[in-house]
Amino acid sequence: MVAPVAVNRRDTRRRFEQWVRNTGCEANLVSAVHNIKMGTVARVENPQAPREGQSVFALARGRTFEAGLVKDGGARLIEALQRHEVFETPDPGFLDFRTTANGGALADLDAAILRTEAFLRALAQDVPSGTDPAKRFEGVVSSATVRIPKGVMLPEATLIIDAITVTWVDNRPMISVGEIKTYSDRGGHTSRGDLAVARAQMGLYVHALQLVCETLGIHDRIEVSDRGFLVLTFPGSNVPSVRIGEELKYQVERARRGFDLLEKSAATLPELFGGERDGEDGDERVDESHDENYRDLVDVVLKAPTAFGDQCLSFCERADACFERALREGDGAILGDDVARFLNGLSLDRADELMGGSRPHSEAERDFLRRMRSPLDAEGARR
Amino acid sequence: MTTELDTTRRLRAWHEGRPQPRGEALNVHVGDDDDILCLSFVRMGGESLPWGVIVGGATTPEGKNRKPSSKSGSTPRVFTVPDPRNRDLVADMMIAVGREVLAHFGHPRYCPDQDESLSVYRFRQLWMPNPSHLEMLHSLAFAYARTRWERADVEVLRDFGLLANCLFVESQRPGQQTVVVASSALSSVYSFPTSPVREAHLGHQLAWFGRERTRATRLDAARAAEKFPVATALDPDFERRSLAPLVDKWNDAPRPDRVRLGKSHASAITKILSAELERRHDLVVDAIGLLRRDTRRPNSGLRDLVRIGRESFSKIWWDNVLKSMADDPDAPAYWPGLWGDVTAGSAAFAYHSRSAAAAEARQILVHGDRALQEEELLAGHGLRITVTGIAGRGSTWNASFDFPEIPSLKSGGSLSIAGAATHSSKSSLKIADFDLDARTIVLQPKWSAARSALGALGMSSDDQRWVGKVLVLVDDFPPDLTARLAGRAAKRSAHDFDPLALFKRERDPEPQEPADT
Repeated sequence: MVAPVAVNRRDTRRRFEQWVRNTGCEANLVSAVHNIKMGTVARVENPQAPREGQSVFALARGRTFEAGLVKDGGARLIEALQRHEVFETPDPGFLDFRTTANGGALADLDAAILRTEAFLRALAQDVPSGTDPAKRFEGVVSSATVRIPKGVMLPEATLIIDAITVTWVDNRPMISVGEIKTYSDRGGHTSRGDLAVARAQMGLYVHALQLVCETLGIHDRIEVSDRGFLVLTFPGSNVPSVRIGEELKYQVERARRGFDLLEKSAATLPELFGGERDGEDGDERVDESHDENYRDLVDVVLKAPTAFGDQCLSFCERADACFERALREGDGAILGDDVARFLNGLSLDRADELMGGSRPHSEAERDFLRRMRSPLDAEGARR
Repeated sequence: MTTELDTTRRLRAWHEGRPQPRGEALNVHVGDDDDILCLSFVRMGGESLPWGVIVGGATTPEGKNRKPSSKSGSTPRVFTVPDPRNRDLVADMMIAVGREVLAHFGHPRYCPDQDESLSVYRFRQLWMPNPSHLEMLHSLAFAYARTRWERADVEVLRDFGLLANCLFVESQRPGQQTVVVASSALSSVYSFPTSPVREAHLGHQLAWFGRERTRATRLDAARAAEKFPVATALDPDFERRSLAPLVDKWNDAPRPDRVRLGKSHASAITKILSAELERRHDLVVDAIGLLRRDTRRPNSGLRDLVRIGRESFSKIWWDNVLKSMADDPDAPAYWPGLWGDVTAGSAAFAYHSRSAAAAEARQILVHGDRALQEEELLAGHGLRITVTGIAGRGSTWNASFDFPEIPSLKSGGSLSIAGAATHSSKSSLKIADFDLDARTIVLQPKWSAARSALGALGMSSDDQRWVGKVLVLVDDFPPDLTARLAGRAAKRSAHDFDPLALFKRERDPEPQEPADT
């Protein structure tokens, strides 16, 4: 029996990726662990804080593209995969585990999790019984939903996988994870950043599927491949462009280590854990800002130490406020992470004074001035 | 090591409170008004083709009132569609844009003065605000370069798609001066007192040059400027509030009647997009103006880079245009591919070609700018020596070196004296021997007689005035040799053997039961 899942705690992948972006920031850690959106915190700090968000048109296109792929029994998606000879059978099957909220038939995520687990068990049962190859499932599953069964930080970690394929290798089912994105496939020039995000996402899904199979005791009967596939678009059209054989070995390892580290980091915040946290299961709050506990947690994030860095500009809505703070504190990170490292503990204000002719008072300051000198200028007089 | 140099430069810029010149010379070519076309795009979230385009020259009419000026090409032209999800409307727009861009690059079909243009390609430049606009060129190439769409003026789309692809391919070649991303150009010319992540924003960069009096106020201005996007994407919140309702209304009408009934909504959308496009265009024009006002001399090597760029672009685009127009089955056009390096062989070819182009560009520019020589030394591509003696009537020099700490030297390798080069000659020396412990080196000059074109460094190789001189020597490995590697790699790719096959992971063999004998 799957325990009901709190809606506000479900977006595990987003929270995990948020934490990975800046693991040195305690505020980021608290925000990720307790699912306190940084946007909410940013607007408490500064009501004018910019709202990060996705384009409404991009969201609509994403929905349309995905819906187009899975309609009519996933005909378009299957056809795109068949062009790469993914399946041996000429007539691959299609299962749709989408919830009603996403245009599917299942009532909610809990139902999707149950269906996915039942599907995995059934797949494993086909192995020892030597099911007639014609009767065993080979094809695509849309929106397979898994819950990471262990975890200190996120007992209810839920992941919805855009698509998985099931093929058979040596009479064992092999599951490959797929990710659907609307950005265009421009061959070797496809945005490296976008591809990295998609691959990291798939690595996390592979890790989650491996954990689920282990928990269900079927990991020796089902192989979760460390090669996935991407479904992108051809530029300027809605025609899917599939990239198979995406190497995910290191992304899986990243996810595994990341979750371990996140759990360890989360364990350093004991005062925020307790009965309250576990008791939230099933609590499907809509407007969290009116929740007293939530407001308390926002306050905790606000008071937690921050560590501003270059990466904050790309994902955190508090980046502006943290930049201001870093500027006031003379943190070299405002000029880039390399400057913070170069200053080696020296404040930017002091570095400024030293560059202006102030006498150095310590070996660290003398070292700074030495390193600031151009190697050519040092001997330039001889030229 | 170059990163550390960047770091110290950034700290100095912070101390001065304003961008600092990077190097003694300008290492970016800024063409004449006739040579430059500025191109900027905006796109709808989630779409890969443009929602609007602005095309214009390197100057803006006085007062930026957008009224046509007497100076041809200085008034930017704006093109928009109400909804870029409508492929027909986008294609119509791109046909109009394509004609302008093709004419700028002198495509004979789109130039009225065809007779002259048929013979040679004249160097042209395309300026864009930031790299996302360059990516848009590639998307346009995908959409139109090979299109088999049956519609009016499809050949314009195809010609434009092919040009867009050639421009994108050329933009990847190190040292090229044909496609200039304005934010990258400014970063190569100035050191900014800001994080490199923020330097990608052209508005942020330009605001540092404003009239504010203090570092704090300039920083405020730069941070305020970056609230307005420069990339092809619009601010999602702005898009949601200002454009989404208008697009919805435009789409309310039945599809066949949308253009006719939605005129007011379409013009409202155009008005909003125009402001966005004009801001991007103005920033590019401002960047060009800033570079033109810079009092530093252009690097003497830029002339060679422009020449190489003209030859390179002529080869990949112009020659193919002429071939396709001649329609000779024995000499078909061979257009560059869209997908990049799809085989190991082509990847190896591209890698070596780019390495050669990068080395060539470095060697061409390094003699004209002491800051680049500094970068070369710090990157281990050079040596600083003091000439201690001359032997064998100038055939051998003995020298000691003091920088870098651990040089990368090879007997038989070649170095040249930094600053002693014109486009036709330079002072190269062969490494005969060296002792890393004693920090001494024996060099063989490859010239003997004096050369007046090289000024003070043009003395004959046996001139005793060399003794005691401190010289910066830079790497002089001939780029042609690297380029030849590219050719060899391409030839190898003709065989069936694919080196990537070596990396395919095989499953470990299952332990086998011993067979009954």
